[in-house]
Amino acid sequence: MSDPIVSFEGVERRYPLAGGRFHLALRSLDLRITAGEQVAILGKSGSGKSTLLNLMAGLDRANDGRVRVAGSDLSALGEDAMSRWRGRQVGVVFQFFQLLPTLTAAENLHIAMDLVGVVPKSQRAARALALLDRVGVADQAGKLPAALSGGQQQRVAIARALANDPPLLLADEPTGNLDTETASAITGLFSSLSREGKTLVLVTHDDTLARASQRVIRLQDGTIVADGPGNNLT
Amino acid sequence: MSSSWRKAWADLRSHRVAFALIALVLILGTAGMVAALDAQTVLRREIAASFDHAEAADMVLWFDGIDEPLRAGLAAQPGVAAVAVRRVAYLRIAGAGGREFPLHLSIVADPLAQTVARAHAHGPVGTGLWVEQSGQTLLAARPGEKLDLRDSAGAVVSLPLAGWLHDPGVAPSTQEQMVYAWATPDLAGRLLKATGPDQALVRLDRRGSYSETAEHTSRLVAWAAGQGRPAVRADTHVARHPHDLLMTAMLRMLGILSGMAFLSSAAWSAYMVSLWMRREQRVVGIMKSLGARHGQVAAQYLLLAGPLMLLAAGLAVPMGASLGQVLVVREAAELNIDLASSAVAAPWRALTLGLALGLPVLSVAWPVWRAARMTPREAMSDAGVGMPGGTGVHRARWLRLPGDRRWTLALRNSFRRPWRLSMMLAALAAGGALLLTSHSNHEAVMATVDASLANQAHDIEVAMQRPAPAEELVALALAVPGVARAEAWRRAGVSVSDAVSAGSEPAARLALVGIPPGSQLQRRPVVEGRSLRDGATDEVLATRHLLAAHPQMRLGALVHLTYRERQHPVRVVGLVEEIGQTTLLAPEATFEAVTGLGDAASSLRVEARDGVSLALLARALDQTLLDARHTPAQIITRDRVRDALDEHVRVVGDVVRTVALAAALCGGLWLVASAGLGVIERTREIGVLRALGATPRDIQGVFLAEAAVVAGSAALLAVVLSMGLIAWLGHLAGTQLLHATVHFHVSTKGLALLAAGFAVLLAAVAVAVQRVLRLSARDALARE
Repeated sequence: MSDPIVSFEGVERRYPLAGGRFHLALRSLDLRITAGEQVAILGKSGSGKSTLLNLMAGLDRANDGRVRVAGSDLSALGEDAMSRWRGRQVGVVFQFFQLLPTLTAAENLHIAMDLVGVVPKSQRAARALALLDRVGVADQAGKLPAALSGGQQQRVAIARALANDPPLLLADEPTGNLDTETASAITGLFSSLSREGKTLVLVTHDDTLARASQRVIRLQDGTIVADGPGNNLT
Repeated sequence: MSSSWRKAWADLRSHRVAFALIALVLILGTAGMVAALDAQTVLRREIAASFDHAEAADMVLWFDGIDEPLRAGLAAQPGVAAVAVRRVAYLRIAGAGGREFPLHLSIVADPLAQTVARAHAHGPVGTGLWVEQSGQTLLAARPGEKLDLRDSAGAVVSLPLAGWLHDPGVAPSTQEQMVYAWATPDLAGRLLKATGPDQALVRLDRRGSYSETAEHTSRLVAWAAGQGRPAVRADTHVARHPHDLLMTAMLRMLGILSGMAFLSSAAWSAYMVSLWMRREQRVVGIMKSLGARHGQVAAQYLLLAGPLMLLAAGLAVPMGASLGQVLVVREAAELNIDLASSAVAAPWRALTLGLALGLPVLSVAWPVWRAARMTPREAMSDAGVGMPGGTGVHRARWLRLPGDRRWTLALRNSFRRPWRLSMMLAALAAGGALLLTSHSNHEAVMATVDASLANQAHDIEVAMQRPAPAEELVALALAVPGVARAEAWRRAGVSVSDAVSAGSEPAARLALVGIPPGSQLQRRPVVEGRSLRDGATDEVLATRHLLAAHPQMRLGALVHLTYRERQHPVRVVGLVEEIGQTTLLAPEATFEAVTGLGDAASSLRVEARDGVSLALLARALDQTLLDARHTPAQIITRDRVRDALDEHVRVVGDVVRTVALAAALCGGLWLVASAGLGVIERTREIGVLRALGATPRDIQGVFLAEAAVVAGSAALLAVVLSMGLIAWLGHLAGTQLLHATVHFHVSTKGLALLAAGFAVLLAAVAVAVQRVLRLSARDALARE
């Protein structure tokens, strides 16, 4: 079996509450995700899904345990190193798209490449257009996010997550703000990315998206209560 | 406690820092406004009242001597309220540390019972010399102590200090470096030979305009001439405090500054409350979905904002009033006026209270009301605090920088809030422009002064108290070590009328300066026309300043000069540029033809040897002349002329620079606050950038680039604006102040200060956005 692209060993994440108490978002969690998998993470609100995703993306840090993603021990990285690592290894897609409103669709991709610097400068403009074309919104390249529909914005957000060609793509409720038809199109897009070899981890409430995943992990109160193929989802 | 009050209390606790800042800013802005408005109204009233109470003379008439019939005759003329007589002598008095100051000594029958230009006792009453109270700091003496004065022959005479008088009609001694004193003829007899009155101070029944008073002056002069008592000089005074104009300008500036501070504080409060309401929008949506009406929602938030405004006003108004009192007392001392009352009239207090409450309440109520008017759907769908989209963003999409998109992002972000950007740009550009203008104009004016002084061949001019034989004065001066060249010049006050009106009433008074034959100290170039011919009896040169004041003295004009009973025609053959001088220069032969004063020279011009201290040389000349029984009335060195002009220009420049600093400070605070608030508003956006791989330093770079765009645009705008201002003010200074050409000049120091201000702003922004470096990417993304 190949090395996992994501490895959590005894990971615990606590958030402080008033009065010296704390909320345990993840409890001694162990998880391994192999490169190329498409994994859906399900669970009720407060089950720890987003915390798990944030830890994978290096947006948050564990209190205990070890998090290794794309070959790096994230607890050993400082802020700057973590940012650089994130830019190269992870693409993040948010529920509310989170495109930079003053930049056009193409510029939103361009800035992701500018910040990381792995794509040569001379290729960035062409790559931005190619990725927008890949997700089906090349004709919207020069428009500001406000001029795009929700589905178009999410496609641009996915393209932006792919800008630096990261091996791991993380998405937090990527279809949560979309109508059924658009959500279906986005699900198809994720499936095709998975087929191309990208590792996808999707936090979702969307059964369709979860069923389309090879693996489904169900969280409850910060622990994994189920882990199995997506097509077994009931 | 009702639920509304509980929510207000909870809001106050959650946003205590923001509300404390709002209250603090409002208190400072309002207190400043109240202080400035109070000071303005009280000082305006008190300056006028004090000057009225002083019953200053409306005109002063000089005669060879004044006896009681002449005084009574003048007093009996229609429209005349009172006539007081005096003689004025200019002597020297030793002050603190033995330093000698010029002394303006008024010889009056009873210093404590003057009917015109009244001075009143300020402290205990004794016998001896009375000194204007503003001279206390210069003399550092107590009533009863002896004061050392130099008599007309230069000998030291000690007189007791009787006490202090206050004459609110004169400028403070400390400003003029001149001590004003009064003595009875008996006491003055120990200092001077002639102590009888020669000046009539006339006060009119009704103070009209300057031209009305001047007309009245002419009537009295004509009456006296008809009595066989021609006036040797007549001055018409303006019915206002000597520093009234300057004070009014300063108060206006203060008003502008405080107004800016007040408006800024209100705008800042509005902005902070807007931010709070943006945070509360979802709550507003929830309240509305539960059935709350606009008014109920607004009332909920005003429940907290209202008492906050009241508290701020309640603290700010008394603070401002106290500060205003301090300002009034300080400025009253600066102006040497009597302060009868520093109370503020009730209607005025009502107005300031209205302003103190009205504007802040409006500025806070507006964002609350705007938020309360939102529909539940709009409010609920809002993602919380965030940067606006809309037209600002749409328009900004055309802005693009080549290369890294971070800089395009920064450039466009700068234009996301057009209103805020305009405020910042306006304040920063105004501050920068004023700063650059004040420095540039100061340097340009002083360059003109220096150029003019370079054309002035003499280093020291000694004005004699009484004319003295020219040869004797020159010989005395040449005997002083350090004197390279000395010439005795003539000077007399003459009246001038043009050829058309020759023989009628004198139209204007000015100084006629007689140049000795073969003068080496007349090197001032003639800018129009030709030079004077030695020996000519009817030629004069006019200064540009004089031409501006008396247009009839144009080049080639034939004018009649009147000196006492003599009248003589002269022609203006050339113009010279001599800053600030309203004089006619004439060859000695012309001067003699006009005045008939003979060999009597009234001034001594001295050129110093290289490296000689002019101050020391001036003292040596003073002593030498005093020893020879020729008392100098005034000694002016080249340095002193420059310093005096520099001081005048600097006073105006300081005011402008203060305004500039205030404006720049306002803009700078807006910029720094804006960057700080931008961090809050765009926390999620920052989180997204972090998720895309941006390091904290990258984010800081974007904010710094945004600040650089704003500060750079403001600096550019400031430079463009200042070009026009420099040209305009330079023209004004040239035509109104110096009467010489002031060349356009841009100050390198001013530009350097602009650049330094730019750097300081960026540093301040860097500090303000430090918090983004501390926030984790997850926290940034989670922030609403």
